[in-house]
Amino acid sequence: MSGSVNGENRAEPNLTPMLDMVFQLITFFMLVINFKSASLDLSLKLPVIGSAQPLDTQGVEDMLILNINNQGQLLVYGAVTPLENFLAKEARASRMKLPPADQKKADIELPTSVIIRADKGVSFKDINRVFTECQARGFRKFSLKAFNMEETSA
Amino acid sequence: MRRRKKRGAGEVELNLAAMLDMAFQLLTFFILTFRPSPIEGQIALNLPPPIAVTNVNQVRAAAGTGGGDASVVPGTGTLVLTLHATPDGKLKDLVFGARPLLRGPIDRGGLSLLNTELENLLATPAGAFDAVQLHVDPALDYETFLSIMVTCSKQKTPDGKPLEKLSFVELKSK
Repeated sequence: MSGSVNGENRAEPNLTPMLDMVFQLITFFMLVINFKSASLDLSLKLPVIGSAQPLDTQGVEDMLILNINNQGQLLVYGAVTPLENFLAKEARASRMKLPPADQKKADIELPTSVIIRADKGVSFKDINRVFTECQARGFRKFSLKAFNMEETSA
Repeated sequence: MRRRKKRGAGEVELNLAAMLDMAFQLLTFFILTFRPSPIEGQIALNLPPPIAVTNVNQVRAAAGTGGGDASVVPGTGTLVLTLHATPDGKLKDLVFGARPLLRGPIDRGGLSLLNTELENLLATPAGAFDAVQLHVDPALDYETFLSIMVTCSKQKTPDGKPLEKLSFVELKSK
């Protein structure tokens, strides 16, 4: 069966339902997109600890995420970065968030929480160096990231 | 202002094809950049600057109550757990105070035994310890260290409060 298309009798599909559906899909992806995950190195194999629970800080807490690979190196957006320089820079930035009167106090506790995402194979020596460096710069609050069940994709 | 009357013959039709093209491009971008990240839990720690460890024997001696009765000066000592590692980072043994408690890589059973021992020692009203310090081999892997530390952090003091004084130090390399 063949049909000719001419100027007088054109068959035009109704694109409106398709556009509706596409907009709904766009809305879904816009809502679930998480730009924060760019700072998380998903190649790390986190330790598995049954009692590790997601903690909701209601978005009010300032966080510094440190990705540590199994060699004990700090990864920032996938690139190996010297830990000392990075922490010094972040500590300066965190200190600026303190009230002006407290900014010059040497032993003041910084308001930033350090989130450590370390590979499960990293040695204690390397992870202890991270803690020590952070403490030396005034960071006191730490969170250690872990899966609470074995990742099937890992 | 009066609205214009719609004219049946000269109806304005929007060209939806262009909008659909753009919408598909946006959709493609979002699909390609979509990476669902796994849900991660976390263990919160508050690590103040290092302070001197209380030695229960010294406290007992200072109180003039030497001897073996640990209940004389309750809640003043630090329980030391020493963790030795094999060269590949697994747990070699765990020394509980001065007593060897576990040998070989740690598993659920080992953690359960450690939990029981800690409960028996820390939660009793006459307990001599109010703090736990881990002496950790530098070669020990992070997962083993973390699982032991979490077991310790779940302990309670005799008054029912969570154990807060938990610290760790690195053993000197051999």
